[in-house]
Amino acid sequence: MLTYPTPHRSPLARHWARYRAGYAFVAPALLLYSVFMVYPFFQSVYLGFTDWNGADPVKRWVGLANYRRLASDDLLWTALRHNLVWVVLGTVAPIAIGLPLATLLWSRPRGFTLFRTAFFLPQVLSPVVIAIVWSWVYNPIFGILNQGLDAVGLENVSRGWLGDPDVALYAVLAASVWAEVGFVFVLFLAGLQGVSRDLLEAATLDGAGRWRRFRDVTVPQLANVVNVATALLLIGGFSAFDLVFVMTGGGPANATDLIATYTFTEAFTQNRAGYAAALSLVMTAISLVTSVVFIRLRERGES
Amino acid sequence: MQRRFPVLSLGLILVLLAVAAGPGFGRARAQDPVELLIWDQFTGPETEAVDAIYQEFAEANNVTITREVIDADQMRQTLNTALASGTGPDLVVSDAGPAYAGLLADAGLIVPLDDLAAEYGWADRIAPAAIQGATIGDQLYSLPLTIDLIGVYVNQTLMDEAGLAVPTTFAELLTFCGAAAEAGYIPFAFANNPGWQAFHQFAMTSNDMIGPDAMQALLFENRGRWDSPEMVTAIKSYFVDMREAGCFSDDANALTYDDGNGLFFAGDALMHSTGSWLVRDINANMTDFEVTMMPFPAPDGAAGSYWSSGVGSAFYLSAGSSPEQQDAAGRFLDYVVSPETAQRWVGEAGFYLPLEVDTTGLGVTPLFQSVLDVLESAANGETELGYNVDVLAPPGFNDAMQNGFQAVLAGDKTPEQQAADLQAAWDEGFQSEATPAA
Repeated sequence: MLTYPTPHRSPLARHWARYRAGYAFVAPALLLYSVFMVYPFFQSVYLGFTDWNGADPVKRWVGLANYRRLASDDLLWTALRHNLVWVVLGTVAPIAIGLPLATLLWSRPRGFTLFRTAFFLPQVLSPVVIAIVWSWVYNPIFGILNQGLDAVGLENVSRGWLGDPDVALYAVLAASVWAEVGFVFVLFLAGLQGVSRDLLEAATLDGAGRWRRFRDVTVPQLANVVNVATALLLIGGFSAFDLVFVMTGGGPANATDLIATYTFTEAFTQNRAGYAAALSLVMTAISLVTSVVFIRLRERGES
Repeated sequence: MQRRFPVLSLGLILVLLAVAAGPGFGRARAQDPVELLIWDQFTGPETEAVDAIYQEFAEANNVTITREVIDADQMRQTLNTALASGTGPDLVVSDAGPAYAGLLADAGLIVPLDDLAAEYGWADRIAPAAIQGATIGDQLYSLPLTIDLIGVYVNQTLMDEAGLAVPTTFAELLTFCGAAAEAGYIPFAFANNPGWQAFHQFAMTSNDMIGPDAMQALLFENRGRWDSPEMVTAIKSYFVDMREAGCFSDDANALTYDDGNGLFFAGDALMHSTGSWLVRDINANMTDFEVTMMPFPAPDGAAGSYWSSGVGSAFYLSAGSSPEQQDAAGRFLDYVVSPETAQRWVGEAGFYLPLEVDTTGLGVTPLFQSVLDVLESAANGETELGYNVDVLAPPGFNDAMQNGFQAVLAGDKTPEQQAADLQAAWDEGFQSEATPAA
């Protein structure tokens, strides 16, 4: 029997020989990701240490000055408070509405397709379209909301919803919740397909009522879906921008400013791109930490 | 043999390129038209006239003009990057003054036009106030094309029908608001979402309170204060007294500029305080009404009742353009403010120019003519014009105006607090931003 000497190859060469096809497949995506995600991220980190105004070819290094300024920036804290309201209500409300809706349609009642389409429709609309439509709903001159309130004798409740600093944030948030309910609804509808009907029947035989079955049998089996929906809504809440930008521009009197809209104003209106970069990194950090903490807490709770 | 294939291919490609390029390949073709890319903000009905005016120059001067129309908000977000990257326009029509162009001038992205102005004698043709408004530091950075007049439109037809007299003093104005509301009208079509509209209301009342000379000293020389008692009165008059007198909707902060225009066009509102840029739309939408325009009535203790004015749009020249393009752009700019083209801007585009324009035979409407008359009277020194504040103020000051006046309107802030915030924003901006011409 003839034997052939195998050429000696380094571990790196062996690794390359084995995985080069894989690298070749990954390379285009990696290149795009690097160009459009990794590079801009590190560029933002760098800009956060400069006083760049967005146009000047010279970017002067200012160290931590932008980050020191954050602490004394009242508008940032105002925007952060608004973001917290947005994140809490913008996460809880879609789940609180979307989950019961999905449960109601779980048994595929008559009109299932119609309801599913109707609930999901806002999710396929552009946020700008949603913002414009809701601006019409709230319009004090021809808006359907005030007209409806007037029609049922609630004239004293009618107001310029987007112009009243006390309610403007909640008015924009309502549009966001309307848009997000469809997304959460579809997630839960898919999740419900994995819920054991045997367990539900067993609970029914044990005398559990509807609410008890929903709370103690259905919801626990949807824990993973709740996790995903919550994490996505949390992240989306911290980066919310488009609805506010189109409907109020952050006004009136900064009453709807979120960190993202404030960052935009700083970068493009106030010409403080360096400070805006620092703001955007803070926003990223808060969003990341919140999401990780939430997921860890959920995992701990489940274990 | 295989190695020769790429060399032969490369040679073949070069030959094909040479053939495709034609007889001029290898040497500059002097007859090639110069290409100019122009960004402007003329999105309204004037757009066809703008096309025609550009085209006339292009055909007569062997220049290819590519026009891209971009609205003001988008332009502010993209222009810096476009100019800095070298892929931007050669000429830009944008808002004049340091508030919007100071950043570009500081960064060297646009070039001073002083040499061109001297070469073509623009100072002989263009009103000194417009030149001053287009100057940043001590250099002319733009060619002013349009000039705005800010005042109060009055629906004279409905006023007469309702038996209401046009108020000439601020006290009369407050009384008028009550009477107009009783007659079922909204007195003023004021709308303040997203908030820039308040800039112009404040410009009117503040110019009235301190007068154009003091406003000029404040804006251009930093002599004076924004938190003076006169400025507090200016803020209080419009945003508190008029609100309390029911002069405009309680929901003004929720109404957009288009909403306000709609109220006035439809005859729901009797007056509308805004700029002369709305004349074309008024002419188009209010054919059944006679509309006039007047300066804002002077509040108590005011220096007088003045129109506010400022440069509207202006042409900027990119520093990234080639010498040939800059040369062609210079000729284009001179063509833009030539007497013949000026007539076309007025007659076809409906612009108000900071130039003397012969309007004979242009068939302008009475409202349009009334604005021209005021501007001409100002050019002759017979009428003293106040200043439109926002185009001459740093961005931080405009931000303080936008959010602050909304808060005053909502009752969340006093005029005194707002005046103090304006002064603080001015101090910060005056030290760090490019300031108007001294």
